[in-house]
Amino acid sequence: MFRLFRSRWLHAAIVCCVAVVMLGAGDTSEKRYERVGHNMMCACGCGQILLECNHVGCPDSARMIGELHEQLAAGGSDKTVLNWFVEKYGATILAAPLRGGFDNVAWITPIALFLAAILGTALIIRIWKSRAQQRAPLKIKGMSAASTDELRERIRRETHY
Amino acid sequence: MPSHPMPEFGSFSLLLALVLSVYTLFVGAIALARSSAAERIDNASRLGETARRAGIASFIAMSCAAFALVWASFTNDYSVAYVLHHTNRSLNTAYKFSALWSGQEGSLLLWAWLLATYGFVLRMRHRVDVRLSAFASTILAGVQVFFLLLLNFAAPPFSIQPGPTPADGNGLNPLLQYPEMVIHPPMLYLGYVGFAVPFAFALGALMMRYPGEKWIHITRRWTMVTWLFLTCGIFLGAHWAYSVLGWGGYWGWDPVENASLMPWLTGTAFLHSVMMQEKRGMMKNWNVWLIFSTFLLTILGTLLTRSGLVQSVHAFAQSNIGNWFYGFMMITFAVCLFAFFKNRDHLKSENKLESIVSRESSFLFNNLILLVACFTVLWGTLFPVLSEYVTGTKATVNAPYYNRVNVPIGLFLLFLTGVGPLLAWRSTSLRSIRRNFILPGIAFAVTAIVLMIAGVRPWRDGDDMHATIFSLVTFSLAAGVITAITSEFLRGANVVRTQTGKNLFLSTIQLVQKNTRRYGGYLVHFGIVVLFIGIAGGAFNQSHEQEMGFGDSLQLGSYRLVCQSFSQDSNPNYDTEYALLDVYQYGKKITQLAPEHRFYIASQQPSTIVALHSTLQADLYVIYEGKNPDTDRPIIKVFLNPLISWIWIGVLIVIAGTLLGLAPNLARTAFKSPVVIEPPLMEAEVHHV
Repeated sequence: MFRLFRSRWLHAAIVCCVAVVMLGAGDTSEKRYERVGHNMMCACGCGQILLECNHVGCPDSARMIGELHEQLAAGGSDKTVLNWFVEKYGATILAAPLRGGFDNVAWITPIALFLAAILGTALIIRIWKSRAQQRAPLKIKGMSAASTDELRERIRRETHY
Repeated sequence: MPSHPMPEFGSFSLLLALVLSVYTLFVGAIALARSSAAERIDNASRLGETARRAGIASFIAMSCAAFALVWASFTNDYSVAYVLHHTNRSLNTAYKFSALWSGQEGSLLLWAWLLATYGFVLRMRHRVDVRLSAFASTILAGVQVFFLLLLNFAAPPFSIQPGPTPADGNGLNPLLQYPEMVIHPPMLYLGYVGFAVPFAFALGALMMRYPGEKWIHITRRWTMVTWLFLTCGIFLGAHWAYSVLGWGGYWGWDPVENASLMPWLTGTAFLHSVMMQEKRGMMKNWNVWLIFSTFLLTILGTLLTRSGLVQSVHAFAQSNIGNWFYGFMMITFAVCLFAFFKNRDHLKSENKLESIVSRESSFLFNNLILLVACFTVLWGTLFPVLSEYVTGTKATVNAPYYNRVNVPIGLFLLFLTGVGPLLAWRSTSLRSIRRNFILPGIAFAVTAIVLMIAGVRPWRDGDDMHATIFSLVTFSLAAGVITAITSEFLRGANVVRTQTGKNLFLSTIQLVQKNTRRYGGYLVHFGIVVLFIGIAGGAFNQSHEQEMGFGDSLQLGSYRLVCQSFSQDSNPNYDTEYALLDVYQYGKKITQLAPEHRFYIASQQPSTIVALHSTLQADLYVIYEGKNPDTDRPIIKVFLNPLISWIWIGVLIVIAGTLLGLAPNLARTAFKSPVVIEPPLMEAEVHHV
């Protein structure tokens, strides 16, 4: 089983699968509209995503959606469209920190922490493990009754919950 | 000057509760300082007993204050400013009661009353461990003093409205006039406040250098019950948001929502990691700081809701009491830090991790991932403030950020949910890994392939690729984890069946009864998996908006909606506009929906009443958005949200699992006499180990 995981054939199959998954990943105008529209807030102050604003008679969302359609039709990239909105409405119009510069810190920090936590834990376990191996093995034969009871209690605690 | 007997009674009760809590804190602390560790505090010092009784009396005083406010609300006493601002005469009776927690002062009163109630239970059950309970009681009194200072001096709920008493009140926020709002805040507060109890026990155990891990046994039920309340509170809130706010979703990553999620994440981590301390005497430092952090996060949550530090769409009661909370958090943190450094040698681990492939390391990873998730939520919540401080302009951090960052973390947690229970304590052999993981692995792979064949293809045009990939991975992982949990149940049940000759069903019941904690935990995991399946359904949401006159129809997915009529109505509390829509599926009429738009007269605020047709497969979610002023015809927005019901079912399973975990083991009561083990067997067992 584990030999199979190491085989080149399996690696090749995984690469093929990923390639097939990525093939044909297209981008329709409706999809772009949804994606960009969900990266913006409504300017009316409701605190909702532009395409989810459900205020009756909202003074901003209909106009902003019209502007979004116009900007997308003009052919600019997602970033260009978002920048246009930032210039017009201010940075708070973006639903996520996407301006670059200090905004990148918002994205990098949790990912860095996540990786550091995983690697740090693996490293700590490795160090503890090597220390545990250096310790003398537990002698069992010839143990006193009290020690045996203690060991039994430990077995019970560690194997039953 | 007119007299106001009930508000005066309430104010006096609050003041009395403050005096009694101060007495419990200071006299309790003096009694603890005087008593020696070897003596039982109630014997050693009568002073300690008076402190305990004062604590009990403070609960009675707090109950009187809460009663006075509810009474003022029910009797339409608009001389009380709080009642004037949060109720009106035509308000439904249940909402008059819920007005208690609809505003700042009332919410703080509820906080303090629940804390007094928890304190009351703790002080009545002090014989479990008299000295530890005395420590916990004194610490709780400290927290109580803070809230009572707020209630007496910063946000008094019984302030009298200046001038003549108005004939009617301003009414309750329409968003809060919903049945779930009667139980959601108390549930959430029971969770928030409840974490003060394990915090008090942990801090007390650290201060008195409590020998052994008994304090964990004492607090386990407190922590689980608190966690359960918080879970119910969070999901009642999510269900309320889904049913009332009318934007088609249930979680908007609003700072107030985030504030409730953070202590839930650290509380969940604590519930897992205490098992390591219980079993192997490990992670003592970690556990102490986890529960300290959880309590501080509950205070931070209240601060975020109340202070206006961050903007929130549903911070109903913002004010300038933030500085009080900052001060309290700093004092609490300083006390925790001092107690930790003074007694850190007491928290020495008895064992170390021996293998990366073990139950312990899976708990450790689980804890780290939960903390990373908590940090991400906190980071996103506070980033706008940080961004403004650093760059001078505020950034918005909303759903797109949290979804991108937290979804991979959530998937990793889901993976650990399946893997963790399959690993043995201390170390797991390769053979055991192969045996335990082969079936879940196959379930994962088969589900992924079947789903891709069935049409869940991330590469398909028109779909959101990232969302589809994540949902595909979620469904596949869910299949793997469910297989792992089921095989755990079956493995145990088969052993019982072999031993007892009972059928599989009865064997499973006996197995669960024998170890309710373990199998309750598995049930909670199963509930979490079901919940994840429901969340993953969000990748396939559809929506459509249309103006609908008589007889007009709208098609979404397999549903066709036909407008039968639209009209308006009125009652003393609100005016309403609604549409009657017949719903057809595959040409057959299945139901009629009536989405509404209300306008509350007293508060002059609009509100949406969502019409919902819910099935296991999908929710048909219909909103009346208003009328087109040009045509005078209603605008209807329809969402088709797949698998939403699975979220609520998952939560019910989590609740059932937690309740099962709280139930006592029947097996323990069945084997009361000690088992005598012959020496050869004992030796064999030792060699086996």
